[in-house]
Amino acid sequence: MVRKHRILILTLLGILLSTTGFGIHYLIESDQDAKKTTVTIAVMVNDGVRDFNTNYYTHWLEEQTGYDITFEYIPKGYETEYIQTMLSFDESAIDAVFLSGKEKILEDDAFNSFCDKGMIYDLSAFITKDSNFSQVMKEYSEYELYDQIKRGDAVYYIPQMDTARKQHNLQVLWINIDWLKTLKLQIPKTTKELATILQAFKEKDPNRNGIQDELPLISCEASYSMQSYNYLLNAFIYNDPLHARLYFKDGKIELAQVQDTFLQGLNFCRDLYENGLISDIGFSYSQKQIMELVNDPEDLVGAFTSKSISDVIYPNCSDILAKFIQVAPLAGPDGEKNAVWVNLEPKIGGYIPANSRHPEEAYKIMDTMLSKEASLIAAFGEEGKDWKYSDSGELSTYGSLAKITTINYLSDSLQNKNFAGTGPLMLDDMYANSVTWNGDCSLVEYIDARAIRTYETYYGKSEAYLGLFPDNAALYETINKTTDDWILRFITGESNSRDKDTWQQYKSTIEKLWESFD
Amino acid sequence: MNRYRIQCYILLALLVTFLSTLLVGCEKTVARTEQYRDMEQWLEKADLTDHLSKEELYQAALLEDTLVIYSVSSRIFDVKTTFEQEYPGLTVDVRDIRSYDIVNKIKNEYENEEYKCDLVVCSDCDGSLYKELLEPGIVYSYVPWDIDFRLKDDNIEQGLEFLGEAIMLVYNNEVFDAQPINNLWELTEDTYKGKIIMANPLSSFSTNGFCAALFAQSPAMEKAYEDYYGTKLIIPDGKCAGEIFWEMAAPNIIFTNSSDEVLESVGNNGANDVWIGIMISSKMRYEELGYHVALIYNLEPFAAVYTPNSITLAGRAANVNSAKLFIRYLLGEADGTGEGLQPYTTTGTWSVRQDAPDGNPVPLSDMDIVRLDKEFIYSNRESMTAFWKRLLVENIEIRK
Repeated sequence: MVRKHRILILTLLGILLSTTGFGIHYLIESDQDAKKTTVTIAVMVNDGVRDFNTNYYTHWLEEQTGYDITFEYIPKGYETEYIQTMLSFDESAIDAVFLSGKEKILEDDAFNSFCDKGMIYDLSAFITKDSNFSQVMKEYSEYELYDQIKRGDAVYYIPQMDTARKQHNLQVLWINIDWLKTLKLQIPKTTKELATILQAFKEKDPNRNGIQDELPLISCEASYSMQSYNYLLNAFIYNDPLHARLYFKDGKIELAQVQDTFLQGLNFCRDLYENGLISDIGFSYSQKQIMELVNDPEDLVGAFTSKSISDVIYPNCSDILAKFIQVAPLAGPDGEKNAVWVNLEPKIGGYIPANSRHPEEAYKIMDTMLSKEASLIAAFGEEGKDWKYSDSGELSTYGSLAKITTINYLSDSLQNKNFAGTGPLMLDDMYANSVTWNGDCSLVEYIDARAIRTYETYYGKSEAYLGLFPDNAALYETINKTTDDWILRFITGESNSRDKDTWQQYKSTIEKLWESFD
Repeated sequence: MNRYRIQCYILLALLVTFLSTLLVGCEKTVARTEQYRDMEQWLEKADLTDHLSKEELYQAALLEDTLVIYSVSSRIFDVKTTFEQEYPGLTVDVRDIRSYDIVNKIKNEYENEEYKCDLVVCSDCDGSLYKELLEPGIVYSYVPWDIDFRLKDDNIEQGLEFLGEAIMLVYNNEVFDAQPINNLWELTEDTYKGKIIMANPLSSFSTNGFCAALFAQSPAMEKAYEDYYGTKLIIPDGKCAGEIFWEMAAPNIIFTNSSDEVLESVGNNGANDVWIGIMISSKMRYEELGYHVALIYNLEPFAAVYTPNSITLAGRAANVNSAKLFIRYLLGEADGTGEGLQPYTTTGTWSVRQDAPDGNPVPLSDMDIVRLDKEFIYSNRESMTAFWKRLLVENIEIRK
């Protein structure tokens, strides 16, 4: 009887102790929670992310930093106003702004102006030698990353940079393979063959709807990579709009846009435009409108250029993706073939308003996002569930030995594992370029990798020039602005490139600009 | 007394563990039994030996949802387009997936009882489709009653084979007027360093079939070696001629992900300086787009491995009538003239029907071709995977 009582007492005591323990633990936790700083981050709605607040990556960052993170969505359509208003407060409820690499709210000039006015926090005081930021700057010193980021002695943002191999290629020409098959045509190898194909696209109803509604080749002004005429000019002379179209010849820097071969290319583009083979519709379209056009089930577009196929075709439209195939760099009349090599450039991943209440905490979160572990989550999701380190023998999309095996591709779906490209991110290129393929022929990463491999062969020439061009952004901007304007006028017929005087006028304008910088 | 009590406690603990394991086991067994029962009920309702006309199937299919197909063949997209035109009101969702992944995906979905797929289009180059899906009753064959007797022999033994294709050697016919090699062992020569391309056998089912065939055909490989070099091949203990061949050839080979890439590399005007590829023959349909490739039909000891594509109905498929209708359509309907067959009548394909012509100008009977020894491949999967892992790491690293 006594023993039974003793057992009962012991059991009750045990329950009491464990309950008390739990209670104490709960109190400690609650106390800790009460002391936790909440960092509020403004983001734009991202179509690839279900909810930033419940996101796996958010929880991971909270665990790593010890802060609570809350996201506030920037109202669509009022992004600029939102940022301007937020920056103008004495004290802001927003501690940081995260941006997606694909869209920016403020133009560079506007952002720099806010920096200069002291409305964006200078992060340099937080940056220590052992911070992730410093490590990343060291790793990417070959791209002069720090020089690209700093403004004077200040650092106003934490970068985001896509280090994938495909980012080095300016543009790929994609052609409608179904139309080629329907008309029994072959993938073009020269500009002459392309012109013949585009003519057939225009006249022979390749979409078989009985209406002449085909747009043989479209061009869009949203970016250099989507300007198909810039692609075509590369079949005549090395045409690098990112470096003011400078090229190196016999030890001297020359301007491509004043050469006779460039004129030849312009005339070729003009003829295509005049004959309706480069469609004029895209010239006034935004990228979004171009996407709608190419993804139209009516099958209206024959060819386009872009950096990645996903810049124009939605990654989840496998049937549309299957319609297009890359065309290797075309050869011009003299056999010239070029692909433009692009230096990796950082974009703004995140910044802190000067009126933030928790700048140091916000910096800590952003710096954590530059760590290897964070970058892998940001790029591939949760380890073990969405990706794993590769077994030996697996190949990457680029044909090298893979380092990352993807279990679930997050890039073409709505997910809640990472921020789908929003916020600071610097994934080591060793991982970015060593991802396995899942066998899906319409997977964007696979399509892009296949395309880029046919272009890389033609980079060599441009790579040699790197570092030889003047480091002068203002020069590039001024010359580009003038050249771009003239190119459009020549192609659309507003100015006549075949008229000697007009050409001479254009040439001397550009040459004078160049000389003024000399 | 104390010792007795301790023993009692241990026994009690063991008993509790045993009972809980038993309970979990019972739960699983009960769940599995229920799954079998559900599958049997589905099978009965699906009636895979029906004699329904296509009109009857169409009417029944109109009451169903979107047909979901897991496919290794991208041409199913073309079939989807014309099928949806032929049968208004029906929609098809095609998921382009590799054979390796299809088998695993269907198995996982079966185990989790998430039946998302209706039709599986897949080749069975390592026997896993048969061993892991067909034999255990996870997928099923459906042969339309009025097409059955029109099929060539051997096409319905292990799932319904609807497309005859082969994994073969191709060469750039702009660089070479005629096939550059007559014996497989020539590929081990230094002349071919960096001139051969093939998909990674660990991720390409059909390439794996070709690689394994060389192991399975080791006596023929030995003879071919002797024919080429004039001396007998010395085979160390524990090795075979096929293994030696791949060890010698691998340093010459560029490994890639898919037959599409093989075609692009070999056929692209020789620009990539790759002369020979090992790829699935049906990719020859892209020859019309200007790729300069030609198939090698005759070679010592063989030039090709027959790797047909099968179509099977996924167990517990939700859209059975749509699936049956799609299979009929894919086979060209009862008389073999239907539009669904058209995408599969190109160069590099052979008809499975007696009443429809081959797409390829050279018949299988005129080729040095072997059939897959699925039993051999399936039972040697692990050792071959280990072999290729080693070979790939060694050779890709070397090129880096």
